[in-house]
Amino acid sequence: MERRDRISSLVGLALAVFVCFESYRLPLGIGNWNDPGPGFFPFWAGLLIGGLCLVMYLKARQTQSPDPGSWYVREKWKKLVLILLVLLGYALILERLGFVVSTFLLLFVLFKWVEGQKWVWAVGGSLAVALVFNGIFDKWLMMQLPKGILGF
Amino acid sequence: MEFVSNLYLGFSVVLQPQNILFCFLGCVMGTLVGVLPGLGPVAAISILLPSTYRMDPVSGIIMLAGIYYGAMYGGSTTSILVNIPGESASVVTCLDGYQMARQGRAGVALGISAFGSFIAGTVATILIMLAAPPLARVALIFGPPEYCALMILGLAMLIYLAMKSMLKALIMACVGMFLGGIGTDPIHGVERFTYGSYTLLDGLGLVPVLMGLFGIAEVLVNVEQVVKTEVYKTTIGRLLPTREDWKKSIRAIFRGTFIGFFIGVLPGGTAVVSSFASYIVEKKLSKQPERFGTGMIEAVAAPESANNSASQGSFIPLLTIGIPSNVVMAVLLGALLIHGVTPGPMLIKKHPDIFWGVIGSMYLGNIMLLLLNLPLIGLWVKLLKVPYSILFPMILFFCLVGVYTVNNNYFEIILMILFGMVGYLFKKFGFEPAPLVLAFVLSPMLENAFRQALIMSGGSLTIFFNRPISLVLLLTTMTLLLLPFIPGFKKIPKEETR
Repeated sequence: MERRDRISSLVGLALAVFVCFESYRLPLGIGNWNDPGPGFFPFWAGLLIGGLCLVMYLKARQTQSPDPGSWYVREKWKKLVLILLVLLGYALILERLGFVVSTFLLLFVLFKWVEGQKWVWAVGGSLAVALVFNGIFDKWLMMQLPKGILGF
Repeated sequence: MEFVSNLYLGFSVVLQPQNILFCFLGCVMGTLVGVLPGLGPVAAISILLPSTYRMDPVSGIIMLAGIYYGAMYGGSTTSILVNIPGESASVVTCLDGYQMARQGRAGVALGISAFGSFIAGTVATILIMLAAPPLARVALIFGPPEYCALMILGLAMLIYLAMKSMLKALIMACVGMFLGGIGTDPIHGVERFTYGSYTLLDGLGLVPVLMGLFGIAEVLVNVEQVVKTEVYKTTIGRLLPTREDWKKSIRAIFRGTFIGFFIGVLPGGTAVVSSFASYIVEKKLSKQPERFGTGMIEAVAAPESANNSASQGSFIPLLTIGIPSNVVMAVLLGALLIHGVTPGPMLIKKHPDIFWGVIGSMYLGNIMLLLLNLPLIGLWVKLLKVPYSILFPMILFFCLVGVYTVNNNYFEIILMILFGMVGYLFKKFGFEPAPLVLAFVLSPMLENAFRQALIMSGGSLTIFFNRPISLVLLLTTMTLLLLPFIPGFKKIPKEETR
């Protein structure tokens, strides 16, 4: 765990430097305790993050415990990346292709390619969910869902 | 007399057909997320938050509240039958609940959990009705320095009670403070960390942050781990506890109820902490402490009562002072603000329908949950068998649709994915997201209160130390944060629960 703590504390330190620097650069700046400027709160938050991460880094360097191994499961990382890409893809196609088509594609890819379900379930299940929830959101809850170029 | 008229108002609100429906929906959803491992009440409330936007505020809050206390009921089912806590407040129920199931007493364990939860929920609701109005009157004398000090105490309490590392919890709270500050500065109107994004002008949205950290991140971790839900092969058997079981449990239920309520009311108090605390108390009071962990019924009854009582007690600081005591309440605060309702001492006067309606719904919800959790237990056990490979695409779908429909803005989906990745890394590197979310929600309120206090005092920080309530709150905060550095001080004897 100490190795992981060292890595996370260094990331935290980088974040702290960024936050403090950017707070300082804001128009009207940090101000002071008696007259705080717009950068005051973020600056102090950044300074505290930095100080605490430094303490964590030093503590992690002082202690030694057995290495818990890799922080991710080697066999599964491709699956996680695929899921994230599918989610990102949904964000990008939703307004272009509309709710029904995008949702069908999202669920089909997740059921078929990520989880390896049977074709019948992947196609039928995805289509059913897309149509049923389009009915619920669009017709019942009157939510504004994107129609896309296909018009539904 | 005031008590009766308030009760009447509460029931007249909750017994309207649409409110009965939404209370029922909340209880069903809560039991569902409580039963299913890998999906907690925070994730469920976040996912369903956007669906309440078009509802009447009372109906929306009644449904979201039902999810929270409903999850406390449902959580015990998975702990007892599968030995995996359905949600974190039921961790301690696994110890003796699962052992009872192995001894063929699964039904009795489930029964006493449901009855205990019902008694605790009902008593807690009465306590809320009695305690909330006087507390709201006291809160009226609070000014910006007191609010500022109270929010800092709430954060400090959550950090102090962090399950993992206090240092990491403190870092998370600071990150939450920074994230809460993104957007337009409330006093000078300066854009902070927006980098030209229109979406960020109003600050980071609560929904994408929550859904990312609790919804997407939980799915990513669970997909990696493969949640195995093998229901212990035993007949559930009779659900009604015997006279002997009641004799052993009834005191534990009432002790759990009061411990849970007290912890729930405290700033930073969570249902998880209350269940651990009540288990420890029962073990200390027991004549056979060595038998804890072997299937003692009081060790199931007490924590299950405590977590229910705490979940309802935690509504007090939110509804009367306007300060959320834990992350679920922070989400509910966000929901109230989105509906244009500001919780606080004036809520009882300005929106009595919401205040007493939510409290009235707790009575109704407890009865619904008892009926949902005992006669329908077989249905929930069947749900446990739904494979995660079917469940997680649906959770992801609800997250995506939920976050998009808030503002019809696809950039918020991207923000949610980003927070999902960050939340996954937080879990892997041992950081708890709860202090971050609480600080994120409190940050704008804290900043406003701090600056208003300075304006009041003409720029002097002494205002925080000259006022007695603020001084006491700040001294308590300092004591909490310094306690772990005192040599020989023992924080929470977690090992006693093992």
